[in-house]
Amino acid sequence: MTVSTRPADDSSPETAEHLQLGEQRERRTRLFGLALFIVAETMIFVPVFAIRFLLAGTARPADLDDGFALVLTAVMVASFAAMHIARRAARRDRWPAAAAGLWAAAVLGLVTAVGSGIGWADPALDAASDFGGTFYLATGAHALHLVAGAAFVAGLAVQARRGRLAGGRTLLDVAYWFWAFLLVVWLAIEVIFYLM
Amino acid sequence: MAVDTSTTPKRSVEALAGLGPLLRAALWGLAGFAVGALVTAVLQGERQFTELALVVGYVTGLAGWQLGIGGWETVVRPLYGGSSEWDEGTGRWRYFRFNTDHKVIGLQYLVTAGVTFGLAGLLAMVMRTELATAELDLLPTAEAYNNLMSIHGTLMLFAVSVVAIVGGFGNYFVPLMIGAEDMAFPRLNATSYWLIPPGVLAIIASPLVGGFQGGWTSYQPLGADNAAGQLLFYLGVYTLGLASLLTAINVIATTVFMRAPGLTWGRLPIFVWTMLLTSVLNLVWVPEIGVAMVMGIMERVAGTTFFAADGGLPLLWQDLFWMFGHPEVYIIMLTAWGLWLEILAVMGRKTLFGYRWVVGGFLAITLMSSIVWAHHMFATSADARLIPFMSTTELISIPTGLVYLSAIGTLWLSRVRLTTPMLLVLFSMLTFLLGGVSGVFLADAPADFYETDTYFVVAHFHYVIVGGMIFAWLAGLYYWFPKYTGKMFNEAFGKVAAWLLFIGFNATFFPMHFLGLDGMNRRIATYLDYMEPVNIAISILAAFLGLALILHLINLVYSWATGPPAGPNPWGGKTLEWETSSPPPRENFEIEPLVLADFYSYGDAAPEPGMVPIPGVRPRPLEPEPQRTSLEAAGIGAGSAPGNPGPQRHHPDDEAGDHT
Amino acid sequence: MTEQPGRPNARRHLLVAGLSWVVLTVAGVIGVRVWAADSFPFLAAEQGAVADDAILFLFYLVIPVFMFVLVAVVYAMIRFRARPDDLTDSAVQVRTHRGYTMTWLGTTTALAVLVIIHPGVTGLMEIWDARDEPDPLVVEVTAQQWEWSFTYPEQGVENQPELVLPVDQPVRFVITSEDVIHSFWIPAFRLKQDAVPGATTELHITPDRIGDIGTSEMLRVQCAELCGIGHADMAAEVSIVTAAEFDEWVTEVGGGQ
Repeated sequence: MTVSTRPADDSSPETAEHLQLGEQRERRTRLFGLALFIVAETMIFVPVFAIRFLLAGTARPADLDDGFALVLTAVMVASFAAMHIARRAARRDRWPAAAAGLWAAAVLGLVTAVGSGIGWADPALDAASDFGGTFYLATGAHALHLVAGAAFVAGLAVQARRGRLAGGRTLLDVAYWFWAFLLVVWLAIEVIFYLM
Repeated sequence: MAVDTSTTPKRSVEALAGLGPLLRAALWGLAGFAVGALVTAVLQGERQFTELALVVGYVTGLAGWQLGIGGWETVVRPLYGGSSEWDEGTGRWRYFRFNTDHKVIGLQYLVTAGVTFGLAGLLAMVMRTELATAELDLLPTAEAYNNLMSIHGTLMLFAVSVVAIVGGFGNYFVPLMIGAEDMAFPRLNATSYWLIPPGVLAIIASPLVGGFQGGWTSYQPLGADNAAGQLLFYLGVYTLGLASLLTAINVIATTVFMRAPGLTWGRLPIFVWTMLLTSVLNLVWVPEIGVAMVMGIMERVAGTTFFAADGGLPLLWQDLFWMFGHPEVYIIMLTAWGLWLEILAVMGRKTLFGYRWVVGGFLAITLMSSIVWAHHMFATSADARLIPFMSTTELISIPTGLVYLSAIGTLWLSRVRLTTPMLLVLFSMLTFLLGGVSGVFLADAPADFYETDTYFVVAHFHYVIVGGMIFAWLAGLYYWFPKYTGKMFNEAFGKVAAWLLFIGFNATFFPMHFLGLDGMNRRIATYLDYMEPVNIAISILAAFLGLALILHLINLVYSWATGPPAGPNPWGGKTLEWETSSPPPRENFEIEPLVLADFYSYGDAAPEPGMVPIPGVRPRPLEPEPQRTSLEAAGIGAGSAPGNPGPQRHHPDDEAGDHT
Repeated sequence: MTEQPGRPNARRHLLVAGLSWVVLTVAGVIGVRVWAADSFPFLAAEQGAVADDAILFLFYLVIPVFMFVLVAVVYAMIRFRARPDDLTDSAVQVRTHRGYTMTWLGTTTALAVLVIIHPGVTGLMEIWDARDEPDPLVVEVTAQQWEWSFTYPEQGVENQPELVLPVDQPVRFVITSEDVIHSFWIPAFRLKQDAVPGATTELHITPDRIGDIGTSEMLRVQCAELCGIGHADMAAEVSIVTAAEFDEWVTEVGGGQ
């Protein structure tokens, strides 16, 4: 096998092109990784929703506080909106605005998580009931995702405040789509546990 | 790898520094556990150690462990804009810390799986000794036996079978076989490995809190009745599953995006195909079993009644478990078949037969494996499920048969070089075949009513998993031994041990079929006297099986230490891993390989797969990169992992680093 | 060995291996017949014969398959051997072979479909036929950690620790569990049925041979699903008696009103 060395000169114009290609591949790989992660996440929530119907049918406690759930939904939507703003700002290199948006998304996400924790105290809920068990399972899993996600988004916010993000905007896109996924899951919870 | 802390103070200082991250991880893990458990107990207002405190403590302990081993420097601190400086270590110390080299991780997996296999194997020896007589005489209680049996099964399934080939060879050889520099997400990869030790430890530690006696399946509602050790089963399995999931994401992304130029899907090495499809199964079904594990935990600490007879569905657990559990059989077996075919073609110097057919077969298995699960529940299920699941189970034997089509098609008229790995593959073909044949008996519902939950089943799945996967793993350990150690093993010793293994294995497990038919139900420490003669014989013969495995271990370890240099390609293999030195350098290949043909063609007319870039000859490129020679293109892109530059890579595109 | 490339050799290999396959298959079938003639464990139920017959039939199907692979592997190990350091490529290089592949696919598909129909579906039908037997004796089986109890509601016999059945009388077992999942299995009857808490399951059996645990240790109720510490010892005695003896037993244990 012929042995050759790598291009040693990092400053050649060709290398700059290489870099761009490398970045492109890296970006695609990361977004693909995110897509795989979301497939896996879906396989967490789909069984949980299926179990809710399997155990409790379409029944739910009549006196469940669905007004509170609507408030939480509004907060979750606002959190995603903040994420959206952050992404747009970052695309225009307006880093302070991006950081602010990310902070807002993280905090509102945490508020949703804590809020659904407060919602657990609803007297209509009983862990030992067919409905209650899966309710706690679904909302708990979602809240844990929000907490972990908020920690990640806060990290991006810290980086954005300094004017640059590791990996260019790819990680921001990862956060954005993950947040979109969590929003969809929350809406599904809203429909399946509060509205049906 | 023994840690030398003796003699000169200099060496002990070096050892201490080398083991620093591991010690820190243990410390942070224990601290995390203590803090989590204490805070929970205080919040609960309890003065004692509650089950919830155990769960929370485990989770915080796991976080502490991951941060301590290097997650703090490599993941958390850079995320918050801090430095990503981390010493990946050199020499043997690389293996005891967070290291992103896929080859280091592969060996970490292999050695961990080997140690776990040894531990769980020892438990099997204790069980066999107990079972030599009808009465309970070695172990103090039936509960102790149940605990041992449960730990044996859980470790073997979740920490050995699904980890040894997929985590070990998968990490080590997928990037090498596709000509990549590393996995797509090296930090994720290292994180995934470091989930394995805590997962294994949790399961081993379960007797400290009473153990669990439901076996590796831990059927409900027994799981809710068991001692608190059951929680460590859920947590340990969850942790090990998480490792598999992260590896799956990594393998798929790596295979899709990091193949060398010219490595089209139609040329993808057969082992990489099996790794890819295994990863798809892991990706889809591991989260599902994770849900079941969390439900099991909630059943104990949150007062839910998912599986309770009163208010829940006791059989729900079995459905959730086997929906993952049967694909898991293929998670275990696919890569073993991939190894068979790799080794058969190379050792027989003959073109792999029916590449497309067998890849199609693997695809069909991957799809069908998700619709056979209820055959584990024939004696439980509603009538309406019997015929559909019996049918799918029998039909999945058709794509499985394609593996034998290819194997025999390759073997026939080949030039069989009966080396140790080849011998083990041929043995694996025979023992797995017997497991498949007894599988036909179990898939047939009327016969299954008789055989299920007896030693017939015990024999069946040991033939499948030990005969199929463990034999293939051993074959792979020998086949790739020159590559990952750079040394050659002792061939004569290996062959003797392989024969002893084959004979010892069959002598141990074949009689169990008849024990089952004669009325010996599984998972029991005591039995009626009339089964004793056969059991004594099995227990004695099992010693030969144990001896054979010890001999293999001795051969591998001794050869690693003292074997002669093997050179880059001792077998004359054509896949890319043989085109680099043994063991490969950090960046795997001096130049990015260029693939011109498939890897499994032999004979005079066979084109060389061609790893050498030839100016002017361009295979179908994977990247839109015109106006550049492949040589130049080879320098970048592949696996330039963020924040983890290898020693020889230092590109400005390595963001997240303090070096920019 | 130095094989000359070309058809004649390949044909000879096929012939020898094919003949070995035929001989071994015949030997295997004879072996199974000999084994089955007197080595099938003690059987005491009509429906149990379905399982035994299925196993025997499946043996006939899998023996040729098993022998095919065995012959291929062993023949290759012996006849196609080359020195380990010999890197000569095989003289015969085949990437695909339509005849071989199609025969293979056709055979495996036919076998898989066959075993689904028989003994699969036909066997199930036969087992399910027992449900239509008129006037079955009803026995309620209750499993709990770690004992069995049997109630004969029509005879007014309650909570017996042993199972007594009249010979040749169809029995309907109604099975449930008080705590965790158990499995109701009488090895001599072959078929087993899980006992699930909160639900009842049924098993229809017609015992056709008189005996008790003294006749064969296969005549016992054995829990077959791991249920905790006492799982191994969760067994009960089974006696199959004449109709007259059964009535006698019913009176003895206080039933019969």
